[in-house]
Formats: sequence, C-alpha cells, structure tokens
Amino acid sequence: MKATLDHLIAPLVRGNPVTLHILGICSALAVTTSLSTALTMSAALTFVLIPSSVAISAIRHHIPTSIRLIVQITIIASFVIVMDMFLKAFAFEMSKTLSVFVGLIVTNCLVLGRAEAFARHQPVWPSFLDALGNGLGYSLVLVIVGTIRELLGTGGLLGMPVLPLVENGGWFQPLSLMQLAPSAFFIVGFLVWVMRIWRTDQIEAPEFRILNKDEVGRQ
Amino acid sequence: MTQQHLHPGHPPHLMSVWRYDRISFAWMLCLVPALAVTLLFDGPSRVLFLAACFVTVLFWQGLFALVRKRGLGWDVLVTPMIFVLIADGGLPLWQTMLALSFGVVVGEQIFGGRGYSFLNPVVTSLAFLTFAFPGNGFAEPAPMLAWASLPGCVFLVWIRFISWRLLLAQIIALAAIAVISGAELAPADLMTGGFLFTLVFLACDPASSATTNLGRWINGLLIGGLCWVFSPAEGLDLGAKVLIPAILLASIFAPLADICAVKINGYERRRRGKS
Repeated sequence: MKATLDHLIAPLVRGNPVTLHILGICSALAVTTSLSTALTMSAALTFVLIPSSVAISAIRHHIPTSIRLIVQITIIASFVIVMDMFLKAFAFEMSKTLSVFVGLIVTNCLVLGRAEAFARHQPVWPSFLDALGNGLGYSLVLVIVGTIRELLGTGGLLGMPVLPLVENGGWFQPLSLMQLAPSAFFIVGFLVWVMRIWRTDQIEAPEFRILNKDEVGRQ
Repeated sequence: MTQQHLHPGHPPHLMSVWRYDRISFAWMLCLVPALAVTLLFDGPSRVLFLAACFVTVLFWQGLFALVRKRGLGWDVLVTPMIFVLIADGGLPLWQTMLALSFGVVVGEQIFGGRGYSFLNPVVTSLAFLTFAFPGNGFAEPAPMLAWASLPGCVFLVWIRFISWRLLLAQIIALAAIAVISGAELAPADLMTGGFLFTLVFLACDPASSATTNLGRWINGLLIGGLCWVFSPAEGLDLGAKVLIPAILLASIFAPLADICAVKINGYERRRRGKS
C-alpha cells in the first residue's frame, strides 16, 4: 500500500516534475504572469493528465510499440480538445487569456513524459495516482511561480491589491521584470536551487572541474 | 577535496606576481580617481549610496565565501565602486539593493565568483534595474569623470589587464557606424560623460569578455553594432542606457566568439599541417 501511495506523494515535492525532471517548463513560463491563469492552467493540465494516463495504461498491452507515440498523442489530444471546449463554454475570458496554451497541453512534455515513462508500463491504479501526483506537483510549482510573479509584478493577488503601490501613496514600486518571461526562468531556477540544497542527492555531477595549479599540463 | 580545486589560484596567462586578489586590488586603485571626482562633485549623498552598495555586496560575497569556505577578494570593493559611478543615486534604496543583490548573486556568485562567471555583476545589476523599473535613468556623470578615469584606463591597458584590441574594436565599430548612419560623433565624444569609463571598466572586463584575440575583435565589433541596434532611430546614443544592454548581450556571446576563434585556429593549423 505504501509503495502504491508513493506514486502519489513522490512527485509532489521530492520528485517534482518541474524541479527534478525539468518537464513542463514551457507552460510554467508562459501562463504564470498572474495567479488566476496559473491556477486554471494547473487544473486544465491535471484534468488532461489523469484520464490520458488512465486510458493509456488501460490499453497498454494493445498499443503496438512502433506507433505508440501516435496513439498516445491522439488520446492526449482528445482530452485537450474537450478541456479547451469546456473552458471556452464556461470560462470564456480565461480561455482568451490562456489563448493557445491550453491547446498546447497536447505537446506538453509532462503529459507525454508520464505516458511514455509510467503509464505505458504500469497498471491503471498506479497510473492514476502517478498522474494525480504529477499534476499536483506541477500545479504546486505553477502556483508558487504565479504568486511570486503577480505579487511582485503588480502588487496584487488574483486581481486584488495586496501591497501599497507608489501610485496610491504606498511604498511598493512593481517590478515590471516579473511580468516578463525571464523572471519565470529565474524563479524556476531558484526553486531548483532550493530543492537541491534540501535534497543534495539531486545535484548532478559536475561536467568538468577546474584544475589545481600543480595539475596543469599533466594530462 | 573538490572545494580545494575551486580555490581562486593563479591565472595562467599572467606573470606569477599577479595573483587573483592583486588583480582586483590594482583594478580598484585604477577606479579611485574616477570615484573621488564623482564623490567631490556629488557630495555626501553619493557617499551614503556607496556605503549602502558596499554593504549589499559585502553581505552576499561574504555569505558565499563563508558557505564555500573561501577568502574574500578585493572585488568586494570593485563592484560597488563601479556601480555607484553609473547607477542613479536618487533611486529608492531597496530598489538599488535588490538590483545589486541580483547582479552579484545571479551574475557572478552562482557561477563561482569573480573570474569564474561570464557576466559582469555591475552590468547584470544595471540591466536588472532597467528592466525591473523602467523609466529609471542612470546617473548624470561628473564632468571630469572621463579624464579622471583616463590614468586608470591607460594603466590597465599598459599592464595588459584589458585588451587594447577589444577597446579599439569597439571604438572602430562605433566610428564606422557614425560614418554610415551620419550620426554626429567626434573624437572628443570619447572623453565626454561616462562613455570611456563604461567601455574600459565594464565592456573590457577580462572576466566577461572574450579571451582570444580574434574573439576580442568580434566581441568589440559586436558591442559597437549592438549600440547601433539599441540606439533610437535618429542617431547613435552612447549613454549607459544603450551601452549596458549592448555589453550584457555581447558578454553572453563572448564564449561563442572564443569558440569560433579556437575552431578557426584549429582549422588553420590542420590545413598548414597537410600541405
């Protein structure tokens, strides 16, 4: 039981898809200028990831290996279309803000990554837990990045003012850098940094090292 | 064990008396006249600004030095000294400290400190300041800044800390662009404002510019060309607002210029070997 539950818990923080596998970065950069878009995107991705993982896992013995990517993409794309239409029907403004990024969940490396790495080999129940865990792990990162970017970039959260702005007589001058894409790179980078301070086993071996003075010229 | 290997040792291309901290010390001495002129011109407000910048840099560099169990170099003084000469002292203090923290940590310390990074911390801080708080200007340079920084510049070129090729390439590129675009650019413009100072102490910083001779020419021409791209349409602007992004982008491309130079050199050598 514990091993099964680990599929759900591991990807939340320890094996987070964004900070450990660096998957799903594109949307983590694109939709995190405000918390509301980050939340919608998280929900959309989680609700696509779960049924597609379950479906792929259910028919895993019947998918020929040579065309498995096409089959996986077709399944994922079907759920993405459903999700896109759902957003257009019930949250039209939000769907306009997210523009192509809901449609681009089809090519989100996280969804295909879980299908390829996990659901293709595992039974339905672990696949469901793994998809839920990865969806929540991705959501956690998106919410953190979205909160930091909206709070520091506009001084508010979910459209509500939080910090006293200079233009209203306060002291906070919004950092417009936070509304630009590079800031998401920095924040995700800092998150990875913090993760690897905590979990030192995730640090990759250096590709090279600088030689000592005595070693120079020996090779 | 690995920590030991990363200790700043002796740069292989310089005479053995020039250890890492001595280079920074000489660099700092070259900055003193320019700083003195600016402090005299601006008065006590700039001294306070310098103190705040120094405390910020000292905090981050000290923290990283403690964690990495290394000593502090003289560069802890160099970074704030260059920064106060270019950044606007009238900004809210927290904005300056945030920008400087960003520049020192992300531009330099995470790569291993002075000499291991490919970005100049001051350039990174100033770029952060322009992007994070647009509309903020740079400092009005003291009238004698260029003349005060001249002895330091000559000294740095003379002892070959900075490359004359890199400096010349930038000036040639800017002069050529001035001729092509018809912008008004006289040789005297070199000595106005903080232009020469920025060129020598930021663009020619040996840590963040190319290290091969061909790479330096490419690097210098690139800075000149980027100045043209970033200038307003009607002419060539040589203020810090244009120079800083140009230097930042050029220093990102400097390793690529070096790789090209090394590849060309290898190709030439192989060709000569065959014939």
